[in-house]
Amino acid sequence: MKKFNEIVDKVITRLGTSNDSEICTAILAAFKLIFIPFATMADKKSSKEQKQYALTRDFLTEGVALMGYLGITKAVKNNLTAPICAKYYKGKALDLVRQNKLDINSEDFKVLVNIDKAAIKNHAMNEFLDEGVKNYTKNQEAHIKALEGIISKFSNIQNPKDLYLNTKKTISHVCVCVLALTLIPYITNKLIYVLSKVKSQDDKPKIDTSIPKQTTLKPYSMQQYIGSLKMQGGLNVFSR
Amino acid sequence: MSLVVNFLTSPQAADFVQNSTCQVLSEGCLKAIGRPTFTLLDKTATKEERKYSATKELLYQSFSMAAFFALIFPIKKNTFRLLKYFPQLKNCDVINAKTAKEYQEKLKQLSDKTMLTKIKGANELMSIIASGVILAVITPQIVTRLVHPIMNKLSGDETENKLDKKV
Repeated sequence: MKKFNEIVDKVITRLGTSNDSEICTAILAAFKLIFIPFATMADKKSSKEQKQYALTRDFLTEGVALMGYLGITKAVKNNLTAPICAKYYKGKALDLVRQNKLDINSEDFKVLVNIDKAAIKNHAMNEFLDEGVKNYTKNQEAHIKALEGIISKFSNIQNPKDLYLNTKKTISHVCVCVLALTLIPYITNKLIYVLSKVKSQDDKPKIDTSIPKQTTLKPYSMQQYIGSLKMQGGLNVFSR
Repeated sequence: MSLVVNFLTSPQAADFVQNSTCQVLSEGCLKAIGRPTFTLLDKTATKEERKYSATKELLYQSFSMAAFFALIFPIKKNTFRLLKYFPQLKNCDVINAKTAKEYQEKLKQLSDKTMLTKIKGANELMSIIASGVILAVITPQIVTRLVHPIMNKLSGDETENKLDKKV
């Protein structure tokens, strides 16, 4: 019971801090993976073929969805968030230069343009949860401090931690939407195609490929064949 | 490119997608378009199989979104009543609220950030479980009963149309 409470505590803290789209959609996919095929099986009016196809499709779609939401979304999120944050700071630096609020040769401009992506990621994850935190080096810490110093001078720039978490949430949702609309049904179609190919190969009538029994008799020669025909009444091709 | 970056980094977009109701609704609406379309494009199955599966899928997605939309808001309004069953929130005064208004007021007064995060998380967890029950348990049972009458009606209309054309 104590362990269960600890798990619930972790889950509610996680959902309260960062309720990424893939958590909710993956839980729902797991629910559907179990209950929707049951509902399809309970349908007594449909033919066996219809039921079999719908059942395969339901099961494969939800299975692919579950794996896609957990695997692909996580990979996209981990690899895209920091580069997008870096792009954000670069854009903001250029905007400030255009507005004559920042000098292009200043140290601040160089910091904003050359963002350390790993530093942003580690900084955001460091205080948040222990996932993804690897080596938060002193250099990275100094880089983040310099960045926060610049941000405090301008009101319209987000701090690195908030920016990383916000971007992560939005990317996660966009990825879930793309998966739901195109990738999951596409992969399901391909899997069904592969399964149908395998099934059609299994259903093919088997050809007898065994080696015929060898006999000790010598094969007939053409002369022997003609001779046997003459014995039976000759080669009377005009008798018809 | 800057438009995409602006959207992805915007705090408003992050707040919007953080809500599990928004997540389920947007994902469900996209599924209602994508899945039946790809089912109909699948050439490995016969026309009848594809038609049954696509109709079921479309019906399921549209019906589940409607049911979800109708049920989730009243459920979400009342999830605070179940907060007392979370032992993690026992020391919090918010769980003693008896009405939604009182709950909102107590929540505004709460200064403990950790507790606030846990309450938010507990509400999201209950919302996800409720969504699971609505979308995966109740709706498929109803759709299974509805799919044949609707399919028959559709095919009946088709044959009638064909007969009309012949006449």
